Amino acid sequence: MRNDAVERPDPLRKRISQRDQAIARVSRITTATAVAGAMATVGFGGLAAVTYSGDLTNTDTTPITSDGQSTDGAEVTSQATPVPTLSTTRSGTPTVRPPTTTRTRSHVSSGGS
Amino acid sequence: MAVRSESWRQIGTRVDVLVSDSELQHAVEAVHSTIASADHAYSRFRDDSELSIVNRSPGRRVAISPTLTSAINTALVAANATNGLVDPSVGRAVRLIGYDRDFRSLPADDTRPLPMRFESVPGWQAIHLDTHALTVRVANGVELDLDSTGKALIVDEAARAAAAVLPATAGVLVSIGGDIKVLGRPPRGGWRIQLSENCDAPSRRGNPTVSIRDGALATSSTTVRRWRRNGHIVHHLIDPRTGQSCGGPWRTATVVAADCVTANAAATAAILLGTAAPGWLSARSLPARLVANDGTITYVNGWPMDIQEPTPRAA
Repeated sequence: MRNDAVERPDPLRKRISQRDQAIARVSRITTATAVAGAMATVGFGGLAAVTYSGDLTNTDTTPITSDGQSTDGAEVTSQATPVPTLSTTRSGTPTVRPPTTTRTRSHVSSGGS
Repeated sequence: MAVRSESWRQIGTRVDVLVSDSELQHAVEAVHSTIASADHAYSRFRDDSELSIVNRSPGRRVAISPTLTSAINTALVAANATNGLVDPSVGRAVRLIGYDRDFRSLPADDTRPLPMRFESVPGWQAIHLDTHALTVRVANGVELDLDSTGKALIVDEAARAAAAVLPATAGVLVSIGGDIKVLGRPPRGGWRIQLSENCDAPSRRGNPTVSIRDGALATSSTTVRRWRRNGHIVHHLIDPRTGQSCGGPWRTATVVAADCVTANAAATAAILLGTAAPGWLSARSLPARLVANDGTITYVNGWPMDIQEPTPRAA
């Protein structure tokens, strides 16, 4: 971590720390954008803008290794709690055109699967 | 406008890709690849899937891929929007009723005893997803099951992937197990979809058929993925409030929406909501067709009545 920079306020260390933090922020924004892009397809007519209170400082994760196994991670003491909230009201749901009936032979079937 | 199609089985169900006014092959490859990627991320039946690893790691934060992050994220949104009726924490309940392997591998008559006691599922709030750090932690006793919204998300993403490799003048329909998303320019008369209890039902003239030009259509039904467990009929649609296969007045619900995740989640929620379903769907402006256990049909929010075929006259 960057505790050294806090304990010994060396200007160079501080600049390096600021640079690292800026890179991390850009990385997070990039990831969040990717997830948000996927979410754009979701959510009761597109009204599901989701807000999460992610705890970015917690790094005690259990990584999945290349052989597909999880490594033994530390017990989590703090957590990121997802709080999905709908950003608009029901009236914000885009209108969906009802289907029309047809006597013509179908292309596909929809049913339980 | 010519429609070309290809069908195959993948992730234990039927996949259909239809393309209007274009070559088919690139769209098929895009869909196949999207499904394979999702299967590796969140199949419940693969020991090497990321989801299986998460389920084997309760109480710990697990680093996951953007694909699984997106799928869990989607499931949480659906859970929130349905007030927990479509809940990804049903994994343990699904396993306990016996659906612990690919459905085609399940015995039709499972003689193992049912659990002595059913209980409500832990709830989606027991899933801690960090979309920034790409990690997830599930509480002890929680197992994720993304079958419902996961499949619908694949449909949405596969349709988008297919559309991306097609010319702008083309249209595409992707159906996975009867959950359907269409994009682009539809064929003349729209994309025609037969409404069935079972998505594997062959197309037959005279069956109720509807046409859509955009958006998505999904069906949930308690009439499929049913089996006998120690003398009791059970099915895959778990009511999170009880941890058991749901009952209620509806056996099948079909919903259209802008995207397949919404249509799928709403169809599942409708069956679980029972008599409250028509009002719930109307409040969300979602057209739907609900089939009651006795076969009577309720049309919601502008869904057109089935065409009644004339009874053939006796000779």
